[in-house]
Amino acid sequence: MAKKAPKIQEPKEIKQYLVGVYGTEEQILAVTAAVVQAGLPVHDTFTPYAVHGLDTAQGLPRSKLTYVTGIGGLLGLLTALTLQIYTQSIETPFWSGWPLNVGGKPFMPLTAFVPVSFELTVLFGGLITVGGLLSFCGLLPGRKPRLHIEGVTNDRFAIALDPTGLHFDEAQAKTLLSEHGALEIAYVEENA
Amino acid sequence: MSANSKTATPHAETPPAAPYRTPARLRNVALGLVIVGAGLFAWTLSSQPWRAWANGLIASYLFVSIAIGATVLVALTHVAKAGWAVVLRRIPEAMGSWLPFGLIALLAVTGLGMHELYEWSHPDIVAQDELLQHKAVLMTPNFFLVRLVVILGLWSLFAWVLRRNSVAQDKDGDDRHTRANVAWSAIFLIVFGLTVTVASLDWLMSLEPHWFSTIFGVYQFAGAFVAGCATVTLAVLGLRRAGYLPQVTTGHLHDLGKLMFAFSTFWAYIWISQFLLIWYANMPEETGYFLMRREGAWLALFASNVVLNWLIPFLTLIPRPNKRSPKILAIVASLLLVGHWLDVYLQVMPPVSHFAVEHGGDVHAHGPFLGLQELGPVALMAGLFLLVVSWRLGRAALVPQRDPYLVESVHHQQ
Amino acid sequence: MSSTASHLREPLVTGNPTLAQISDEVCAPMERKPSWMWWTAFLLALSALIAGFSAIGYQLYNGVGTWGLNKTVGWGFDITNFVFWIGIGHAGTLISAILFLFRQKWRTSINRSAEAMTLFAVLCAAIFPFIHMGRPWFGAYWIMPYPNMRGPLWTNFRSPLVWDVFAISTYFTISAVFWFVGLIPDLATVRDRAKTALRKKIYGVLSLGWSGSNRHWVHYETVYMLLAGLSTPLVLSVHTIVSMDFATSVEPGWHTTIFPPYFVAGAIFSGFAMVLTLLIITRKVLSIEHLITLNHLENMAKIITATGMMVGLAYGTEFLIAWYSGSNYEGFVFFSNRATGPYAWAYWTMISCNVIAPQVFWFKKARRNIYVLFFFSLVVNVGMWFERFVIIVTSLHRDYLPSSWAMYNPTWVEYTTLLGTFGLFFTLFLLFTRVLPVVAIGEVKAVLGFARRHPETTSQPHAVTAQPSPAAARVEVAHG
Repeated sequence: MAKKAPKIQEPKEIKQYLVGVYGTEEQILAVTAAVVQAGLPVHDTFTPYAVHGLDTAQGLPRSKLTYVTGIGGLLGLLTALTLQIYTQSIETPFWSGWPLNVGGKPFMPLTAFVPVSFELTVLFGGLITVGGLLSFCGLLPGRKPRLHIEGVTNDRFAIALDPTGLHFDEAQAKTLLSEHGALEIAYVEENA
Repeated sequence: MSANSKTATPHAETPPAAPYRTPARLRNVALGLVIVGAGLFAWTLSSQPWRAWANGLIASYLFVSIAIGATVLVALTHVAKAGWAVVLRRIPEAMGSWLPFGLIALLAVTGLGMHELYEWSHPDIVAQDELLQHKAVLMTPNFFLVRLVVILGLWSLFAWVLRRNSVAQDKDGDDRHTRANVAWSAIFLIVFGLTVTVASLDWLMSLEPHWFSTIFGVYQFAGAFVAGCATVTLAVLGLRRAGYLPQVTTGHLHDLGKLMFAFSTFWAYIWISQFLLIWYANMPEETGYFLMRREGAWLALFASNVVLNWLIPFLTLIPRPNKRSPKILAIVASLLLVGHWLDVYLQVMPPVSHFAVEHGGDVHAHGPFLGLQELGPVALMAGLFLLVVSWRLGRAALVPQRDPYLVESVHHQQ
Repeated sequence: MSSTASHLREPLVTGNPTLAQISDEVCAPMERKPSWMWWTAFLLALSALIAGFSAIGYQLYNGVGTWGLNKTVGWGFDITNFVFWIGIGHAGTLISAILFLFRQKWRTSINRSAEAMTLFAVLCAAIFPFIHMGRPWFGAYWIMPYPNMRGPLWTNFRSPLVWDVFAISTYFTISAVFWFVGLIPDLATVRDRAKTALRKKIYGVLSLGWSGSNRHWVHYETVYMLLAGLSTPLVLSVHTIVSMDFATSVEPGWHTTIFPPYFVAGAIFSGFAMVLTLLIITRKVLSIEHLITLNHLENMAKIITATGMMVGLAYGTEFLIAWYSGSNYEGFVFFSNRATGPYAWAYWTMISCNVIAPQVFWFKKARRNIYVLFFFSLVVNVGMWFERFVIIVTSLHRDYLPSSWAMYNPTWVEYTTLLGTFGLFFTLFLLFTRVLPVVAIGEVKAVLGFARRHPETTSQPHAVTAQPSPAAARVEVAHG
């Protein structure tokens, strides 16, 4: 990363974050734990891969997306059962599918409905989960990263502190960040 | 990370040995089970012999399947180099020691009760049945018993070797034991694949000698493996409660939960594969199997089988916290064991009772039956199983002491 | 990270590369001009593709009569190729989902290309049922359940062929989504190192604004796990339902209950063989031999042996039960027709390639020899194609009614179509190696320290580092 280090500026009106950049996984884990322990407001950390244990260091809750999958799967199951039972089995004066005798099989053979029910459960569950991921993270085609930090998709690990947050103390923060071996410490502006 | 400051070699992290002693209470309970079970078995034998033998077959097969399921688990962790499982491996290893005893039990039941159990063992029936004559090359009492001894003998041998190598490593810490066990496990899994097909054909499928299904061996394996995992889970939880196995973390429990979840679903997959294909094709030579199990009150048990073995465990174990809760795991594992008993019961009892009506002339043999007669042999075998397994557990360190993968297992968490 | 790995573990990535080196090496093939080897391969694949699609055009114009099918053998090359390609796809999902759930960390170097292979293979497979309809423009009408102009007449959900439509389309969709989710962080890596504005734009759109935020990583990892959990039963279901296309019938040799697990094992077997074939070439051409190491190839060889044994066991079980059942028809199919009938040559090709040949992988020398691996991966591919051919054709050509027994002789149209799907498969794979990272960069970085011999885990004092990593060196420079 032969980039010029941005000058350290004072916070402006556009949202800015104090960012410390590191070169190893161990450093980011250590600095995050230290910053959290010092009570400084952590906005987020940025890593090139999912660092094991960083979520707990940062105090992030477990993802709620599992529930989204559950609901999606259930929806798929109900869709499949409704579709199959309606089209193959329902015959009333008001509301009918089209029950046909095929090979003498029963009109509502739940055994034969298992495969399609399973497939739609998985299909809905999977698609809704990914939809959930995109909406939880605000990812969409054409979006720019909210906070773009050079190198975090390659070999850099960064922590961003929120200068407007509670108990923010710039001097303390900078000392703490550099104590843990920061390669750069700088204010970085958020993309609009 | 945090462990980077450690300067010790992995072997130095060996946890302290906690020798296991069978608690007096457990021994008394087991002995009680043996005595009561033997009494009930003797009583049934005098009143309804076919029922005693049917339940004898169920009980002895049940514990053989648990023991072989556990042994397969050991072999799989060896070949997959599953480091996480090392701290619990002594338990399935000890359960594998049941196999020679299971051999005796199954040999006694099938040998002494053969004419009550297996239609093909009656020469007069075979003489009038073209299909049974066709099968008579394979299905003769002596050849059947020889196969049984060979199959269970092989299983016992492999279980013994795997455990011996593992225990030997406690002394010398030599990695070659691990390598040897990987090789033995690979060979065992092949031998097992071949023998389990023959074993399930012999012991269970030939109870209805006209019926056949190619998936049957896989189905028996699935049931046995789930039962093995459930029993290992119960044993781990019990030992932990008694203060043993402090190295077992919530992460290990989570993995055991996942194993039960996955393989209970695998069992259901095999179950529906067999059912759906036979139901769909609707060929008379195959559908008899399911018709017999869905007539009258049998239907309730037939449905409960899927509910106990899959639906309840599946729904219960979906949420992550449930896979990490000792209490819920214990309940699910117990349900799975009851379910496994029911699964075996449903395979043995309908044909044997039909045979008792048609050939033995016992007009009261229309099932299903759930009574003390069913409980006796299971209690007897359970008592013996507990005695043997806890005795074997005490014969070696409860946690492999110097396994090269131990370091991964004791640091296992998620 | 590494101190909790057993000393028996081999490092997953050799040569101790830094994080930046991994990004560079994986992205390099996308950023340089294609080599002459790539162009040769691409033009060959493209020609095959064009030939195949011309054959398909010819067939669609003239009708299915251009194939060698007859009244007795109504399924021939078309369904054989369909099952073959669907099976190939299974290895990708197995590697990305099942090995993930089993925490087999070695999967990280190979999952991306294997998943890509899955998608392309499913595409190839989908061609066959489609063109087999003869007039596929009616296809959607027949198979997709939507309110239509035939009154309220619906598709028949009791038909395994309809199950298959659902299974295959779900499989393709979920695999594509899983693959894309895995790609997002890597696309961001490519975006951030792009030199031209166009590149930056394209990868910027594709990477959805990924910033490497740990808040996102938490959701991301959960979704990855959930998709793995969903894909695992899905991949089993796909070949299960494919097997039910056959096994729900009353055709001897098709109707057998072991078909579902047996087809799944066979699919994984053939899929791993194809992954092995592809990766042996890819790692060489892209020079990423230290990312996809001999250990990876060896592990795949072991899985091939294991699944080959399962398939062999299923063959054996079918024969045992065919005899045991005492059914004349079963006995005829297996003993009198498959093993000794007019197609016995196909049957014994299958046995030699699928059961006997993989036994060579019992020897470590064979498992670690590139040429042996490559040769036997091809052998298994051939064997598994023949397995489907044997199952389909030998059961059909002589069934219950001897007066309608017939032989099946495929025509040039069918051979060319098969060739064309190989063309499609390799064309897509070659394009993939040009435009997307063939190795999951983020995932490999995460396992980089796995089992690496850190001085900390030996008895040496930890202050002495054998090889200071460039990253650490830079920290010191920054401080100095």
